[in-house]
Amino acid sequence: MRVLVVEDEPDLLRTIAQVLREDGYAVDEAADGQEGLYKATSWNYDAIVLDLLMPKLTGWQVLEKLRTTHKTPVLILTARDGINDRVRGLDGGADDYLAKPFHLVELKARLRALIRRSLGLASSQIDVGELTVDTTAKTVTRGETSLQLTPREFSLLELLALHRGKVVTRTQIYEKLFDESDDSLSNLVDVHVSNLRRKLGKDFITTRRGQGYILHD
Amino acid sequence: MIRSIRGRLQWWYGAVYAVSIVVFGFLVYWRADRDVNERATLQAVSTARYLDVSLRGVRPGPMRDAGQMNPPSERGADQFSSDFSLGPLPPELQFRPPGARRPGMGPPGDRGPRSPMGPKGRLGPLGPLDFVRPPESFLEDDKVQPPLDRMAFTVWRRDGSVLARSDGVEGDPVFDMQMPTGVALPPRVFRGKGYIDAVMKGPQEATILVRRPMRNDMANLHQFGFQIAGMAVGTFLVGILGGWWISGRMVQPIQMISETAAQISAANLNRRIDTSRLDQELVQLASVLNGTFERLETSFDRLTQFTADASHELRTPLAVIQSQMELALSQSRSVEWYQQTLETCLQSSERMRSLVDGLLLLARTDSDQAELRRQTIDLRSVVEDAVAQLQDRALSAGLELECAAPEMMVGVNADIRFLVQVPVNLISNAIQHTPRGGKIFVEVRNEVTDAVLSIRDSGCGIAAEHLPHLFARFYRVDTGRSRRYGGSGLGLSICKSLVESHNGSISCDSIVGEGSTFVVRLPLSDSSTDQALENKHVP
Repeated sequence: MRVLVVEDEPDLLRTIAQVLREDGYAVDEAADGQEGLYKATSWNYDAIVLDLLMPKLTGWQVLEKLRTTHKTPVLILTARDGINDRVRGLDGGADDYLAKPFHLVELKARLRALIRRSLGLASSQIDVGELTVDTTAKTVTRGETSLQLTPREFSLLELLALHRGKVVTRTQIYEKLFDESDDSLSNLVDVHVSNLRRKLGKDFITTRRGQGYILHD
Repeated sequence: MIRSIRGRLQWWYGAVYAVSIVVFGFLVYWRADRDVNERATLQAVSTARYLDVSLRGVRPGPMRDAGQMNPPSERGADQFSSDFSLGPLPPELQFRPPGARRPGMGPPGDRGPRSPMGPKGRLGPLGPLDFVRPPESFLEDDKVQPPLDRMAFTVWRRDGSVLARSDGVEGDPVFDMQMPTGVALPPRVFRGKGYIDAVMKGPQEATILVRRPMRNDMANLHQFGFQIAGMAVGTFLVGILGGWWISGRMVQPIQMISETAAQISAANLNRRIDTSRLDQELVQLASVLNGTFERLETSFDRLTQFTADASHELRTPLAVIQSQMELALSQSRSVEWYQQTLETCLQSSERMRSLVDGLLLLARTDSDQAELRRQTIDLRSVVEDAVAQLQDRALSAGLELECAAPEMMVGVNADIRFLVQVPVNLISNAIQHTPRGGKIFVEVRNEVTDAVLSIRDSGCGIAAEHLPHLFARFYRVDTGRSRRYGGSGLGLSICKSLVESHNGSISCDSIVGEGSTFVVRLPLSDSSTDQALENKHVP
């Protein structure tokens, strides 16, 4: 999962990005509206956290321009909590609205809900064969036993599980697993895939040579 | 009792209406009463005259002479009693009209025309009476009138014996007439209860009394009075109902205005009273109300904006603190991590503190609660201190900060605790908005009665559209700029508030791309004013 955080308060930007990374997201940062709009239109993010009062472009302007081409889920995070501001934000194309000050857990929960809705999932649990992937608790269980995965491995499994039965290309994996600041070495994906195979079972992930990976039910 | 315009309108209208109806009714009644009485009097008097003429008609000439010139002698009296008689009276005086000619005047004349008889019991000569027959109008008059009371008369001789008396009057107390005494020659009128008497001296000192009873007339009059009263009550009721309806219509627009005004609350202050269907007087009222709503809405909007801005400014550092803490506590971190977190939190709380201080200061100067401990201070030293304090910041920002001041003291009457913030704020502002390599020039000077502080920078300048709002609270030329510079958006408005509480003024001139100049003017203290004036005279 890759998200973009657009926030002009540097401390807050750093904090939000940090907490989302610890949660297994690949996080890009933008410190003003212009940069935010540029990044939002150049990648296919799973969600965007957007401040309203920013230099160069306000959140409303970013939203207006973004909505002409993209339907990426947007969560507005702002200190403006008036009813009019909320209505304006939601009508302007935002999918959710959270007022500062906020709890990080709530922000994370809202982001998860936003992404779940955009993927058309009914619950936070994905069942693949005898495996159960809980995207909220970040756990994978096989029957009664839970499997220990690193956040990256979990993100990879989550991505494959969300697209089960379909081929997921290496590029897609790179895009969703690594943010702009990661040095994405070409064999990093292979390392994570082989680690997953080791933990889940050899035949679990099939390699389509020249295309990518696929997870069968 | 509830005071209502409609009620009072109705009350006054009803009172005036009632009074005018009563006055009008009384006038009509009085007039009718006068007419009836005058008419009856006239009838009595003319009848008396008629009798007089009739008596004379029998024996004209000598009788008049005797009556007028000489006191009647015994012989004359005898002669009168023996010879004097009345001929048949005209129908008016008989009061027994023949047949249908006078309906309602009494029982039909079964005995035929009858005259009062003389002592000899025979009819007098007819001839002369034809001559004195009253004009037709006299006869016709009764035809159009409601039934009148029957008149009665009595003629006494000089000695008091009755010469003639109209019939049908015996036993009727009204007609129980006594011979009046001391009667003058021309007819005199006496008004009694229920009748009018006309009395005159006839020929040979005969006394003629005609009594005109008024019972029927008075009854008619009273009936007329009741009719008037009834109509007055009816008219009054109709008028009152009409008045109630009219006053309702008058009050309706006022109710409309008050209903609209009552519906306008904080949630829909943009509503206005519709003046298109109102009368001119109410349009004025509605316009005044609309103007008030307009001002209320403006100040309400300003307040809402201020509250939103203030809460935004306070929430942002709060959000930083909260998220930092939450993140640090979510798992065990390194010592450096905690240090970093605490530093960030400290910065944020510093920011909140300065914002709260600024808001409090503004609130105090707004409500004139800032107790200024004024004393004469030298503006030069205040500004020089501020420059010295900010010199390091200017240097690290790559700026040249210069200060120029006159040699003599620039005394202002001010509270140094508050005034010191003005140059500090303005110079910090200039440092924030001037790009590296720029120059800031601070100058203090005397200008007649003003101490002037000007701060000129070579910064980016401010577009003309922003200048009028520059000193407004939380106004931002760029909506997001404060984050980078760390300002709260209150600095300039605090400066303005402080300068104005010291009876001074602040202004800004700016050219985009060339820089801005802020000018603060404060009144010079008295001693400095004298000094400045002296220096003007001595070049």
